Amino acid sequence: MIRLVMADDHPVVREITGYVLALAPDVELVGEAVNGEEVLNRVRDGQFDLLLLDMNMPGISGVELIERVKLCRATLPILVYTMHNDVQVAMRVIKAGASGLLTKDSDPEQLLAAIRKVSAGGKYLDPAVVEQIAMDFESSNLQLPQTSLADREMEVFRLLVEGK
Amino acid sequence: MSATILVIDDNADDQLLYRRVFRDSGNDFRLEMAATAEVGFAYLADADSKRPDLILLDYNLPDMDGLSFMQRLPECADTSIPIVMLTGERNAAVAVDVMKQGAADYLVKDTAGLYLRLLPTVVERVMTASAQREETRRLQQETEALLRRNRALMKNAKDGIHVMDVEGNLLEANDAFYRMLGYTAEEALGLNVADWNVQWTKEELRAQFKSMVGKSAVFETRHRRKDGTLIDIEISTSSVQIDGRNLFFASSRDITERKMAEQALLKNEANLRAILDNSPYLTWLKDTEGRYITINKVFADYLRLEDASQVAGKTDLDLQPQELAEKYRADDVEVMEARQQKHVEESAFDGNTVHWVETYKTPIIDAQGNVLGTAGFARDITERKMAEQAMQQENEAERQHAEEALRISALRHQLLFESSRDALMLAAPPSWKFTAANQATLQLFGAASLAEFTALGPWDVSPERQPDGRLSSERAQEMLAIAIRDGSNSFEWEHQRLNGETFSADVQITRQEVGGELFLQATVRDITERKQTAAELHRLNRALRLLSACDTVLVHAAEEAPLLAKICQLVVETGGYHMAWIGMAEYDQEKSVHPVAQCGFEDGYLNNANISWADDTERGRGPIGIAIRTGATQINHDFENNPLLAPWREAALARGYRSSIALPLKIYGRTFATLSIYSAASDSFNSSEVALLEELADNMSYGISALRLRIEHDQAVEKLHKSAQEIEGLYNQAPCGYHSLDADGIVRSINDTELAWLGYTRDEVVGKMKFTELISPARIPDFQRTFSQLKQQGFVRDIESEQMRKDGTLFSVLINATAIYDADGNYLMSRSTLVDITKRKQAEEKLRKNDVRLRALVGNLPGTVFEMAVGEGGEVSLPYVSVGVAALFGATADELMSKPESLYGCVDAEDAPGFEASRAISARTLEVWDWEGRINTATQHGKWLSLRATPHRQEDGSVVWGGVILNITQCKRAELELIKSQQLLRNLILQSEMVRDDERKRIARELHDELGQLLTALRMNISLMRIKLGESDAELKTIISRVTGLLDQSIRCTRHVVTNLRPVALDMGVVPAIRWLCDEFAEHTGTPCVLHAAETEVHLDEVLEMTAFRVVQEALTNAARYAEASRVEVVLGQDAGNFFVTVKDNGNGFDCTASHKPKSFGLLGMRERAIALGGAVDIHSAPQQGTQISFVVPNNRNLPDMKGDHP
Repeated sequence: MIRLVMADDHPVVREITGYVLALAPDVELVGEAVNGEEVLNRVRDGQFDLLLLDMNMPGISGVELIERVKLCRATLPILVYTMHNDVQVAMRVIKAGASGLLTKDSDPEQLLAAIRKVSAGGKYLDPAVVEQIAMDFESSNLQLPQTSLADREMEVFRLLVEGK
Repeated sequence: MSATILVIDDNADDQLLYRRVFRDSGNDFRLEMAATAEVGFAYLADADSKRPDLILLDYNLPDMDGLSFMQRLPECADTSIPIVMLTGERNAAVAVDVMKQGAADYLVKDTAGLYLRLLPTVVERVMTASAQREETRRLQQETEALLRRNRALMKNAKDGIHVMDVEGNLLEANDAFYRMLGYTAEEALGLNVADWNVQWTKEELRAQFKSMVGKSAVFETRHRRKDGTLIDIEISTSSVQIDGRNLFFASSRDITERKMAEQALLKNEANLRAILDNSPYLTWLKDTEGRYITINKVFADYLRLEDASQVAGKTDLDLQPQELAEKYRADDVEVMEARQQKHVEESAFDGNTVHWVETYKTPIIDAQGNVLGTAGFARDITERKMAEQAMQQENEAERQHAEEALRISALRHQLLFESSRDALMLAAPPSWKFTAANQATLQLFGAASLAEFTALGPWDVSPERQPDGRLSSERAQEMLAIAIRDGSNSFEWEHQRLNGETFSADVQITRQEVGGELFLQATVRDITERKQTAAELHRLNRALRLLSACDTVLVHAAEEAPLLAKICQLVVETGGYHMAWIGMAEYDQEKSVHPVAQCGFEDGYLNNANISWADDTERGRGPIGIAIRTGATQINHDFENNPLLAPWREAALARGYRSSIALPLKIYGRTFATLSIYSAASDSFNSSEVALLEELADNMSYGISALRLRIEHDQAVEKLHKSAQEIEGLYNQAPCGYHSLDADGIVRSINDTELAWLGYTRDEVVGKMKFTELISPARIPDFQRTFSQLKQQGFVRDIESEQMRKDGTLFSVLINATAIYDADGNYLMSRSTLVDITKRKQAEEKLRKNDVRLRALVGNLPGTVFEMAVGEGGEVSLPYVSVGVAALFGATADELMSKPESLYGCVDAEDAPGFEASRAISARTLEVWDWEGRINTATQHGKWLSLRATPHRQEDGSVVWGGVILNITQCKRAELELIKSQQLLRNLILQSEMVRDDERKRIARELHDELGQLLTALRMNISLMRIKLGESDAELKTIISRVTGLLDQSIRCTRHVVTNLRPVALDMGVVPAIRWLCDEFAEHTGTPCVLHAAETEVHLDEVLEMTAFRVVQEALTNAARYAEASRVEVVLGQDAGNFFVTVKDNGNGFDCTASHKPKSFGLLGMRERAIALGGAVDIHSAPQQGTQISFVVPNNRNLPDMKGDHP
């Protein structure tokens, strides 16, 4: 049983996501948070296995929140659940410590798959984002000595591609 | 008719027929038969055979046909023989050929024989025709010959032969005619008589011609040649009718010359007549019979005839009394026979009185020598004759008168002769013994009586020889001969008295002729005394001449040595002495007398003489020595006897010196030399001579001393002259003017320089012009005043005046003058120095004008012109400040200049450091000092001034600035306002941008947060639906799938809008944001866009981030639009507190200077944004060289707070 805490400030999103999570027998929604502070309180309280995190929430949010959560509980897998499908955002959140990113316009199956993957300790990147990365990489910089990615990012990307 | 016919026919029967036919014809035809052509030819060729008049030829001959015969005929016979051809019927056609060949006729031998009947007729006809032709030809030949002859005649004729028709047109003419008129044949033959005849008109000529038809005439007329000259012509013309045409044959001869000769002759006649008529002589011409041909007018009048022609043909017998006439005739005959002129004076009686007439008669002989008659000229000489007679009577009376006078004269003469005191004598040839002598003669010669004397001749009263050595008798003869020849002779003669005493005499012999008898008269004068006196006189004369010559030489002497030499020369040559020398008394040990000049026969005498004037030696005690010591003339009368001369006696005598004299030469009483003269005779020097020589010596002394003085004097003068010239040169060439004025102000002297200034010559000015004439009229009163001042106090200094040149122009001068006074203190002359100060004055004037100009300029300046000096030690001074400074600084120019530090004090405290700093820089670099800053005055605070001055370093190390200070407060305020408003504007722009960005951010957020979320939620719901319901129902599945697709589309659309409004990358930070821009660029243009970021985490102020983002966005947008680059690079980073980002492309580039186009508001915006943030945007680009845009801002938070709410 994967105990999940969902952090999103939009009630509609919370509702539908709840329904989706109810479909999975191995996933149990144990808590919700509507702002950064609540997220941190939850994390501090513990008692759950995965954080499903929206990026835009009032108070601390985004990359800063991820880092703060990671400080509290370094092992806690965080799956970022967001509107953005930008490569930069994906890179940033992964760098900050999230285990994966999933866009909200994905199918429920994808959501559940991601949750399972991440809670098992793996990394998950929304396929659309991966595709984007691949396209970017392809269209530019193939012959250039320098890349548009910082070294560290390059390393991360490689790891991701390798599915780690 | 009779004729010979050659018949060539081989048919014998035919031959017979012919014979018969011809015989019957009645003609006398002789027939010669030939059977063959050859025979025929032979006949023709035979010279003996008669030439046939006709050939009858049968065409068919055995040896050739008729045509061939005809062709061959010319070879051997006369082709004029007519041929009648007989052709057979068969070859009638050949008849044509035959005729062509030249047969006269042909007959066809018809078988009927009819041709025979025709034959005689034909023959007759042919022969007649032939004969006729023959005749015609002969006539023609004759005519031609005639014509040729005629032509030759014409050609060679000398006269101009020409033929004309009745109209007068020239038909023909010979060469002579052409030549006469000067035309060529071609030219002439077209002419009409009117063209060359000048006497008559065309109409007159035509009429004449008409009238002359059938007649002949000879007349004279005038023609005009081609060249226009006129000639006289004699024409003989005759009319001829030829072929019914009236022609005129004319022969013309040029008689111009003849006519001219005629006229000349007439003229001569007329001249002659004129001469004759005007001659005073009666003139006449008679023929050989004595008949008068012509007389002149005078003769006509004399004969009392009205008309000279009345005498023609008459003889003298008709005109004169018989006696006279006969005489005249006789004379005429004599003259003609003798062929010689005769001159006669004879009397003529004209009936009343007797006339004397002078007549010249001369024969007239023509060129051949024939006597044609006589010509005579006569003149009435009655008057003359009477005059002659009167004169003769006069002469006779005179003659008698003369004879009487002569007789009286002879008597007188006798008296003179006797009483004369001169010895007069007469001698007669041949012995020349004396015939008469007067008393004086007897006394002179010591003759007792006349008888004693008259027995003697001239050589009897002479010594044997004359002084020249010649025999007296010989010489006497000579003298006598000369006297006879020349009429007289005067000479000197040595006579001897009867007592044997000889004496010198002057003899004068005169030739006399009396009564046809020749004798000589002699006058003798005893000249002994005279001679002696003369000798003495001569000597004195010589001495005097010597003296005179020496005086002359002395007067003209220029140098001493030549003078002395000349004197010696004169003594010897003019004085006639033997030797002369001059010796100087030397002051050497020996006290020698040194010869300095000599002349005459010296022969080394002086070299050995060793004369001295020391009194202790023998050589010093000679006359020369004594003369030098005593200063008195020493005379040595005789070398032989004088003991004093012992040392030199031998040498002197050997040279012929017999006596001598030593004359001392003295200067200032001291004897410095002697003149010694040697004579060849003893006792030569008598007192008078000595006196003269002493005078000579005195003169010499004087002359020499004078010469010496003069030489000294001359040298001194020369020196003086030279220095005077130098001084004059200095005076004249001085760079200033000098002049002197007398008491009346007249210019007495003036130097060249001043004259040149004035433009006058010296002659115009000196002594003539007053100084007042040389100065400007305006200055005359000043001059008068100054001049009297000068005279009084003796000097004037630095007087400015204006001189006036000759041409009236003026120039300025500075005058200094001193006065010169005489011994009594009266003013004599001024001495003035002038300096031309025109240029100086001009410069002064220019300066003054400049000053005025400056003041005017400065006065009108809205500021102040100043001069500031700062010494090396920092001392400030204000050499000059214009009046405008008061308005600026509130202090007057004087106050500021006296207290320059107050200037510094005015400068506002804030701007003071800048003021000093900029001045220091200007002082150091000597560049223009440019400063703007504020000053505070009593009345105003914060007045903005602009200072601009040019520095010059002075010799003492200080720096002087000269420049202008302007009040720019207004300007400055405006400037500051402008800057402020610009800043405001910039901020406003930025503000508005911020606001816009915020809005966009808000909208994006809302879209994103609300709509996006809702859409994704919706999708999820649909997905759930699919899971719940859609697996089984395929249709439903399709619908759900479709809806999902629509939702995806909507979500994508929303994302797109949001991204455009505010890319999320911006929230990540500036580096991700810019990376996102690069990726977007690369994706849209396909051009690689590389980002070089040193670090990924750059924290910037939100405004800065935004601005940086916008700048890069703008740059990339422009690059995408215009650059067409193949590569773009973006570099960002931080550096020393500044954040920078640079966008570089290798594209087209653009001209940065032309960035005023509307579309470059983008660039303008970027710049403004940057400036507003305290940063800058630099754009480097050039066409085809790419573009680089760099943005730099300081990364601090030092910005005016303009942010809006940060959500």
